[in-house]
Amino acid sequence: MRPVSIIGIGKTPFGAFPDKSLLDLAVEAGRKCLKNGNISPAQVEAFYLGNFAGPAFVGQNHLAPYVAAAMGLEGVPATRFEAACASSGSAFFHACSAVAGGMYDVVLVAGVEKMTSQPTPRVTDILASAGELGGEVKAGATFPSLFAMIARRHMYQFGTTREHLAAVAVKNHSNGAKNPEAHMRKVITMEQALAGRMIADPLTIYDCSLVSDGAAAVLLCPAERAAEFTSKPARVLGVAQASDRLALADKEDITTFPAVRQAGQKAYQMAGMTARDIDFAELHDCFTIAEIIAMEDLGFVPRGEGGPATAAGFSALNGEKPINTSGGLKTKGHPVGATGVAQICDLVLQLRCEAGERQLSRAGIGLAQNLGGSGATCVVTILGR
Amino acid sequence: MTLFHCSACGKAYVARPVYCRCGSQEFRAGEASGKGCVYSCTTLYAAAEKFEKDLPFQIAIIELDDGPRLTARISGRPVEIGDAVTHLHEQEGVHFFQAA
Repeated sequence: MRPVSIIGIGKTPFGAFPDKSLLDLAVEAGRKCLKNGNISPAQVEAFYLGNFAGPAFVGQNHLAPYVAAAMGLEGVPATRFEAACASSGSAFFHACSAVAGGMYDVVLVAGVEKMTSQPTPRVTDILASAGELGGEVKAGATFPSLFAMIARRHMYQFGTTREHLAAVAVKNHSNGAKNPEAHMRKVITMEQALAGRMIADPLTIYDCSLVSDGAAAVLLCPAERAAEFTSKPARVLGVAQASDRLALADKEDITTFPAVRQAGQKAYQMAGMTARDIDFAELHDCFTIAEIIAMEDLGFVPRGEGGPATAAGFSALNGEKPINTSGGLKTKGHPVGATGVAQICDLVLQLRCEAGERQLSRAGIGLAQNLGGSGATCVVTILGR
Repeated sequence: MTLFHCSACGKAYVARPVYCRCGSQEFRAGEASGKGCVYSCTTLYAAAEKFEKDLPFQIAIIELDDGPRLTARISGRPVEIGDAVTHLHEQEGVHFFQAA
């Protein structure tokens, strides 16, 4: 296995862009990324695309060659990966595997989702299809309601409170306000977060991530060639993907995600590291409770202590282990198919000291955790300089 | 309500699986008590298109006395984690429960 480096990143801003199509977004991110890595389209040997529901959101199928051709990538293998909200995390994992295994040298990985062209109930419908159709979806479950049941159980077992959940939202809003490319740049107070409109109790609108349009891309090559393209490569120290059952009702304990623990352990093992070595992280805060559980499953804090730790400032920009310096899915935005690769872009910005107002003083090792559905897929990536 | 029991190990399932976790493919259908308790629950104030007319409504993960869990709708008064519930009826593949 050859070590792999990231030599270029490119992102569109996240938000609601009525004038931009899925193709416009994907091409914008891809071209920015190629430019950032000083690579011409002709040098790219393979294209990996993460996308959750392009066929349902915009009606276009066979998306990978559609996007590849529009970017000017001619004839290369172009493949779409679908793993719910972990679609582009999965594309990234498989692209890393191919470069590490020697199949290709220069690979482009992108993620894209165009969500805001559909009305909210239809978006809810499409997102719910990543749940288990036979039981959950039939009964009327939505993703907010699945994570609401997770939150309720976490509260019941560990004493987590609504204030703990709100503390995640307040922190991520504060970080997102410093991110010029975030969907929602607005600081909120604890009082506002607690008084939000109820979506699925105990989760209010402030506990839920955003419905966004956007795309992100990264360029990979073997670490030994990285210096040919950039003076600031980021090294993939560990990357792993794991899976689990789809239905919450089929899981033994819904307050922990086995796929997150497994992917985390494998990524730590590959990097020769433990949670203690991680300086900062981008965690999959599709809902506030998801960030709390990810902190626990990745070993940042003991089980049940994610809420109190967040309220005590552990994960704040100036805390012990800053989490979601980008603003997270909560405020940066969550175009689901783009999120996994966007998290990687945000880690690279910190590693390169290009994160502007939210730049950390200690940003040597970063971890990204990308979750699909209610935990049926997880990809964990550890990057260093 | 009907449950499916593995002929080899006896494990109970709400929907007939392809394989039992023990590897067997033989199942017997049998009537169950429909009694259980609430493992977790939530009341929805926003839903997918098809369910908007029902808002607000409560769903729950029910742990049946016979073993398996399922996601179900709650009828009548709202329930809390740990509450005893009983099966009311099944409608188009959706199980409805109420507080016992």
